[in-house]
Amino acid sequence: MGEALRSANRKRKASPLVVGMADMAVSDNPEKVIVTYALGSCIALVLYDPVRKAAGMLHYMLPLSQTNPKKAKSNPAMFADTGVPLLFKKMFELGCRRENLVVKAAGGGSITDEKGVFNIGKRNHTVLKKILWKNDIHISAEDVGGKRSRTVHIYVKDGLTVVSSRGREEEL
Amino acid sequence: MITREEIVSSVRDLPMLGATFAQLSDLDKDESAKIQDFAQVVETDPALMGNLLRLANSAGFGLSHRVVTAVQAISVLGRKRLMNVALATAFRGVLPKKLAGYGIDSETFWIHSIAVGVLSEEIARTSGMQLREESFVAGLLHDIGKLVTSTFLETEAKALAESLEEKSLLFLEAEREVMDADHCMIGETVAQRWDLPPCIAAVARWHHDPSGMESADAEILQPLVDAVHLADSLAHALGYGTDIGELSRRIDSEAMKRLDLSMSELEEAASRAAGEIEERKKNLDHGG
Repeated sequence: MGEALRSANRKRKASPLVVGMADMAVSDNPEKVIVTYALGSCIALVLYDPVRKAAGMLHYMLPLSQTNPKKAKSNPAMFADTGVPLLFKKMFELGCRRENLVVKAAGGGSITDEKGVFNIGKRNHTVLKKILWKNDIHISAEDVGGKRSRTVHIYVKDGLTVVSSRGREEEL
Repeated sequence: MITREEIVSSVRDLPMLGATFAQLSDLDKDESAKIQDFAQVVETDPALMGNLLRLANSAGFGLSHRVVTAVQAISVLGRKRLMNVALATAFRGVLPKKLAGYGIDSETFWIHSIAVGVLSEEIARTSGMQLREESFVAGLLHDIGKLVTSTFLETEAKALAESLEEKSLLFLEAEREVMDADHCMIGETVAQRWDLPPCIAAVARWHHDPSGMESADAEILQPLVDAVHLADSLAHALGYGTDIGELSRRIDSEAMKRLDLSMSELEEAASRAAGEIEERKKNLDHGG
């Protein structure tokens, strides 16, 4: 599967639109692939509208904006509760429709912690699920948790989402 | 099997931190040394000069006039900051192109180092601990041992990956399994070889296991080692300079208790550090 996907990716030759840490991007350019690297405890939320053929990605660091309201104002993509609504808004502005959106998530890894206090990854995931659940939005696929670091690609042309980790690639 | 003696003896092959840093360290020990003496040394080193001027002219200092000479820069920054920038510049200057054993290039290693430095500083500020001024450089240099161990791990990449993946070992355990030493033990030796202050040697040695620290000065050094441990954990969690070890590490939550820090305070420190890491990277752009 990994090898097959890799060669399929090569054939696609899409040009990358890189999303940094605490950053987001949307695109309806079929020649683009939106990518984010090295997700540890951070989470990439990926949206795709197969009708409008547009994709969006958010790479947020921390669960709640109350941690640092000033930063949340200057960079809403840093936090789940300010970044997630903004990514949906940007997709709607591109003409995407809520009922068409396919929602996926990856990341949220954790380091070993017997006491369970150093849990950014887990809380990043919990807050995401809460926000989506409150808005009656369903996650269609996710690859979350563990000790792995992940890189995520989404192709704007058809919404193919690939998670790479430890040299392996899997479709999400 | 690689032996620990082999690795320790190869520390001697590591380049030294450069003449500028050595000369400035001598001046720093001399109480009668004047700003002009420091400036004279700084002026011979374009990389250090560039980094000092960029820092002195950065927004953080909010000066209305432009700093253009070494004397002006040192008076703005002070002796302590001068020494920190000199150490950071010298460190950047000895980084190899790649740390192949860890699957990263020097840029990724540098980003991780800067991130841990800035996060250590933010954590030190939040906790109000002693040795705050040392926190940036101590964080920046925490992984110096990797400059030596990387070469040895290079030939063991397959065994290392297996230990991590199939045996689910922590990264430090995996290192010990394939080379009879870890980057922390070797880091302490490197710090001594470079004649760095004891607090940097302690951080290099204990940043993965702060509660295990054995030192005559443990009481003074513990907060700094704790801060760098938490900063390193945050940097890896957030993906600043991820290497082959990824998240295969353990947090010592006693460090949080000793510094009296909650997870939300650590998250706040991380949110403050986010822009500062980029800024610091720009200001330390030149290696000596």
